[in-house]
Amino acid sequence: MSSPLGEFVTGFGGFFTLAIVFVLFLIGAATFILRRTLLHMLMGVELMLNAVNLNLVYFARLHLNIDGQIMSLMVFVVAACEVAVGIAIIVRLFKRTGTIGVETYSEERG
Amino acid sequence: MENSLIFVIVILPLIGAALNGIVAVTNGYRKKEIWGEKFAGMLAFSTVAASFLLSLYIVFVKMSGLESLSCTPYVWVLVDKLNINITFVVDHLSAVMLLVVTGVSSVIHFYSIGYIHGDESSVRYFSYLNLFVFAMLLLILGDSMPVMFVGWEGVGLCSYLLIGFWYKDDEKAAAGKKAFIVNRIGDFGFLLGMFLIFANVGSLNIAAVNQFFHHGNSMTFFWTNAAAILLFIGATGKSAQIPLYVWLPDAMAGPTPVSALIHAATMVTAGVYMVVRFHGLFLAAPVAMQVVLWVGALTAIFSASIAIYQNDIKKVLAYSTVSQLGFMFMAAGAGAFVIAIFHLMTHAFFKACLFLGSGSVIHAMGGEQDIRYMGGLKKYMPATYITFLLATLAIAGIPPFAGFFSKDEILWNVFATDHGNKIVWFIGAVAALFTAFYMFRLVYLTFFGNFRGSREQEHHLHESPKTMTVPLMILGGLSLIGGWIGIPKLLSFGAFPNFLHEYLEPAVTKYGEVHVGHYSHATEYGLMLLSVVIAVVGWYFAKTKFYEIKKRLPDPDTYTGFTRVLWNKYFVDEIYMKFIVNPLKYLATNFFLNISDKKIIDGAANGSATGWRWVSTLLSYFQTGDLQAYGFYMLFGAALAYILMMFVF
Repeated sequence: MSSPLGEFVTGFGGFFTLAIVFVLFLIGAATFILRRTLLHMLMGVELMLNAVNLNLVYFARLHLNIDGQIMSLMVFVVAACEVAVGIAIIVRLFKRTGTIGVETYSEERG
Repeated sequence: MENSLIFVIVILPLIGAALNGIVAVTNGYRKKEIWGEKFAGMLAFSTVAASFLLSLYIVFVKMSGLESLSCTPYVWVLVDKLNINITFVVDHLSAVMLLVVTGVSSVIHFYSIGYIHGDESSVRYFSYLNLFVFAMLLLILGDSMPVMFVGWEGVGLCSYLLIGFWYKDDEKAAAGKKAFIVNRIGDFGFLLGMFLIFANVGSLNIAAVNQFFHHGNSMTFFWTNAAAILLFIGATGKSAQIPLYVWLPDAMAGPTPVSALIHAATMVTAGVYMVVRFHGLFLAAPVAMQVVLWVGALTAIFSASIAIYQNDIKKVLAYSTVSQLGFMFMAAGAGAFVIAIFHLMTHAFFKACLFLGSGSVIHAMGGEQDIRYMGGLKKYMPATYITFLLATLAIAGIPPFAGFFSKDEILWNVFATDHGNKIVWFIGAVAALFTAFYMFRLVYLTFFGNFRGSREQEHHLHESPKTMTVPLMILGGLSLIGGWIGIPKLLSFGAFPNFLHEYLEPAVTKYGEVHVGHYSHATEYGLMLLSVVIAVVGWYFAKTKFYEIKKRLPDPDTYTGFTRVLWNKYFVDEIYMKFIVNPLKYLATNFFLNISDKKIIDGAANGSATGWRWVSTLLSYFQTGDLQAYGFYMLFGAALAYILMMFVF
């Protein structure tokens, strides 16, 4: 652990990275819960996913274990698919009802 | 020795039952029949006949010189100590039963083809009949109590299905139900006996059970007798003995071939067979033997006396069957197991013949069963008359017909063995007198004198078709010669061996035999002569009273005194109704239905439903339909899980 990057990871960088992860995740979650349009909510989900990715990459580097980085690549792939499908659904919904406000889609009330 | 052909014997009738059963069901849904009654009848008959031929082959070719053959197609239960195989054993005892059952069944299946002709559900009928043969074979050949019990219940089920075959008639459906319920009471005894034996012997294999009781054992005197008596309660249910005989007379509601096959020749003899099969146990239980002896004797005289005043041709035969089964139990109770089986066999021949004959008569009379409206049928249906007369001579005990040898030997053994006694012998002799009387009364009223029915019926009278008379002739012939395989040595002066004794003796004396007291040959001859005299006296009374009867018989409603009691069958049905059925019904409605079922069980079910409805109403408030609310719940839940994991656990 003599490289500058190694020192950064084990030292102040750890706190810094985790703080970014935390903030990103909170922003994503808040976006999902508070913004009332489906497109924004999808963005919030993406943000949360990427916060988790960053987390994975950081801990992979910390433990010098490649598994976490591979995992994050997988998450990218899944996230890309999810965005493609999600946006397609949103477009269809918009064409049907003319709105993507989330309050429109609450038929499943108990 | 192993022989897998035995399995084929058992499974053939089941295949017939399955095929006919499927067709009976699908015929109901389709416009076009897959096959009709003719093919169904031939199929049913040929499976049973094939079983019979295979049985002959097994018994006379494969088994010659061997003690037994067995076949184990399947291991049923294998748990710790309990090891139950589906094993079929043909030993000398079950071989006799096997031949009687498959033989009489084939004849009656053939008769049924003519009898059931024209009935809309004849395919179903043949399916049931085949299923019955299968269950009966399980009962006979099973080597362990559970397999026997499956057969035991199976024949009970088929009996129920066939008594209530014309289920659209309420009375017939009720008769079927009565037979089933009364049998269940007996079966309960059988089950308890089985549990008791398993708890003490640790095996349910019949040979092992007999062996266990034969070699002095750890079971106390009380429990040994209890086990035997419990098994005998099962036998009283199936074989219609006091106090559970009440179902058999009602069972005559079923088709007549069914009465002949199930309620005369085979199923009702299952109890006798079972007692003989467990002779190791029964010989170790002297009290139980006395119970068997006395119940048999009392049933014999009780139902014979009822039969004297019955006017329904089938009812007379039904009470006669109960009485004859009593004779078989007398023999078993006296320890003469060979004779019990001998009488079982001869009874199967002549009683099946009598029932089929009565079926032929009823057929000709257009459904009329009351002998007061018959008479003079001799000249209209000679074949039926001759065979009916042969069977009557047999049951009355006139030599050289089959019944004479078996009945005489029963009385002799009851008289002579250590288990029998003179009082029971006297009861048996009186019952034999009654038997001769009511049977000849039946013959005279039905076949002699003038015809007393309506003009229309007289015009309609005719001999039955060949499919019905040929079986009658076969069984009539057997009623004549069937007894000859068991002619006592004394009677042939040692010239012929007593085939049946020599054949059966090793199988039923394996676990001890009963000592026969020493009496001179003169005594034996004297008793034999007395049996004949008894039969002839009964015949004479019937002849003088009922031959050439001109006017109608008195109306039963005018009977008084003891006659009235007999006509009403000692009011047994009424007594059972008042003291057993009605209290049970009262208990069932007022406790089990109104309190236990409606309040407790329904209350619990409805209460839990109401409770969950309330909970789910509460939970449904959280289901807002708003996606973001769900997102919040998730986040909140995840946070809660995190906190719990970090700080609590």
